Amino acid sequence: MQFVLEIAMGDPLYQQIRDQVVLALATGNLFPGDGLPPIRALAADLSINLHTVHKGYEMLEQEGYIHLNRRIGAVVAQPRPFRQDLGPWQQKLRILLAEAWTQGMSGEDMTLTVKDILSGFVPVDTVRPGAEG
Amino acid sequence: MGIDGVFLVLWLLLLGLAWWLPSLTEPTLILGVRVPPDKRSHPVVRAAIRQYRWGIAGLAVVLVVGSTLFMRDFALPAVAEGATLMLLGVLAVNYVLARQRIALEKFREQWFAGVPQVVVADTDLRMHPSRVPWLWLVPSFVLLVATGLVGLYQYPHMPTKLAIHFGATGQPNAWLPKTPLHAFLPFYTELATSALFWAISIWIVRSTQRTDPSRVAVSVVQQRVFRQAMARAMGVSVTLMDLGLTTSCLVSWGLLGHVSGLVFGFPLLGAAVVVGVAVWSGQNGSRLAVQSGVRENRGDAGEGKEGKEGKEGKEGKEGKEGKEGKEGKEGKEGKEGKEGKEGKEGKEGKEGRKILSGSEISVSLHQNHSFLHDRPVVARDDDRFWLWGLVYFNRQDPAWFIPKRFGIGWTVNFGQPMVWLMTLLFIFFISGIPLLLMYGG
Repeated sequence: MQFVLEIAMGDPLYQQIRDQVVLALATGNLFPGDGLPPIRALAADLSINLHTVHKGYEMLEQEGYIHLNRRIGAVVAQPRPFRQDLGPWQQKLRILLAEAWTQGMSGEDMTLTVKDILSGFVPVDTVRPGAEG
Repeated sequence: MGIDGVFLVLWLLLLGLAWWLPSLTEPTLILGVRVPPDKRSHPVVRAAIRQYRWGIAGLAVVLVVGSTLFMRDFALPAVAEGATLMLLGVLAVNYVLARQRIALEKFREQWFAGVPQVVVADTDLRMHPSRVPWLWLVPSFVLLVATGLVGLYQYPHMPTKLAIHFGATGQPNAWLPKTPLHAFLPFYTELATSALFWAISIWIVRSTQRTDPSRVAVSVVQQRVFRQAMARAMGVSVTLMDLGLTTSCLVSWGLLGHVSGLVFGFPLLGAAVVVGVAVWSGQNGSRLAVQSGVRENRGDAGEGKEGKEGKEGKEGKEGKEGKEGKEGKEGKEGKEGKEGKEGKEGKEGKEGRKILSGSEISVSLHQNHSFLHDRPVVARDDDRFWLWGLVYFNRQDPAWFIPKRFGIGWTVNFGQPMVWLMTLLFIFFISGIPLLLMYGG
């Protein structure tokens, strides 16, 4: 996968790191069991502060997306069983939809957009092609 | 050719390299100034490069005329060395004057205003780096061990006075009495040189990446090929270097007589190999014609693939595109993939070196980052971390070594305290050698 961070605009960098790992997982650019670069290496490649990457990784660990281990580094976790508590997620989605709504987007267009986005996602239990054996 | 002639040739080579340098840097780094891709052919940018090159052409004329007029003075090494320093100074001023024109225009017209600036890192370059070219390092290792064994065997038979320093013509011009330290001094030099080169070769394949956001896929492949090529070039170079140093060992141990040229010839050839590969590949591989496409799934194919990547640019594009279709991840790339391919094919057909324009940027990013929509992005304007585009100082960046903006190879990040420590240690080490010679043994 590739990290593409927008500097000086948009979300905080650690948030962008977290978001991109989640997106890479959903779109099949990152798979359970894959390693992520060591914090120092990724920070150097992006020419950003170590702590920013560390914060992004910690966020991902707290949310259960990756395991952080002093010895083997950051590894993408196996997908978890479906979580029932969707309150916070729904609230976020609600705000996103409200933003589009107030800017005049039709409900139909929103549904189409959502479908389009979902068509780009792979099933969560997908393994990396060629790694089955 | 006397010593003056040697210097003149070296100067002209240096000027030739300096003249060529603007063509070796990454596309968005012009004379060490970061510019957005669409400003690369801005009139001021072109004018600045012209100015830089005319300055060098003028310098070459002055040098040739000057050295014919003052031939006799240049025969003195001190004068020639002083002139070399002066030449470097004038080159630097010429460069700074030219680049300031771009920097000024960039500031005046606000080239980066309103365009999202991004930094990009490819995780595969880190997690599955190119292989260290061990095979290319073996010859120098064998040579080093053999030289050491010859030295040990020969020690009892060595002359009581050992040659330890050689003039420009390879003739020994300094001697020391025989002690284990003195006898093996040239060998220690060989050992240290080899170790340094091996370390660099091993380091290169895992060095810090600087991926260009406006052409991510190409940039990543270029960096892979570049690392592989440079790591191998270091292997060839250290072998040649060691041949020269082994020769100097043998001369010093009285096994070879006067071997003019070889002692210097081999290392010079070694340096030429590295410079040659760097010029061919461009800074960070930016001149390499590579086929980007969608990244193949790494793993089993990964190792064999790298060697071939250099050739891929030449190979038919069709074959690759076909594979891409098969490997494509089900429905996802159905729509997006096609758009991207069409855009790329059109451009690549015309020129080997792919340059993505604004609309294609969004397409290539779209494949992996659907959230970046259709906005074009550019590399972060990082000029403020670079003094004159030459000296890097960024406290935030944990990297110690990064690719030079203008020039060949890598430079250090002076924003890291460890770099200062290393620099001090290095100076200490270099100045320690003469002290060791004077008081050691």
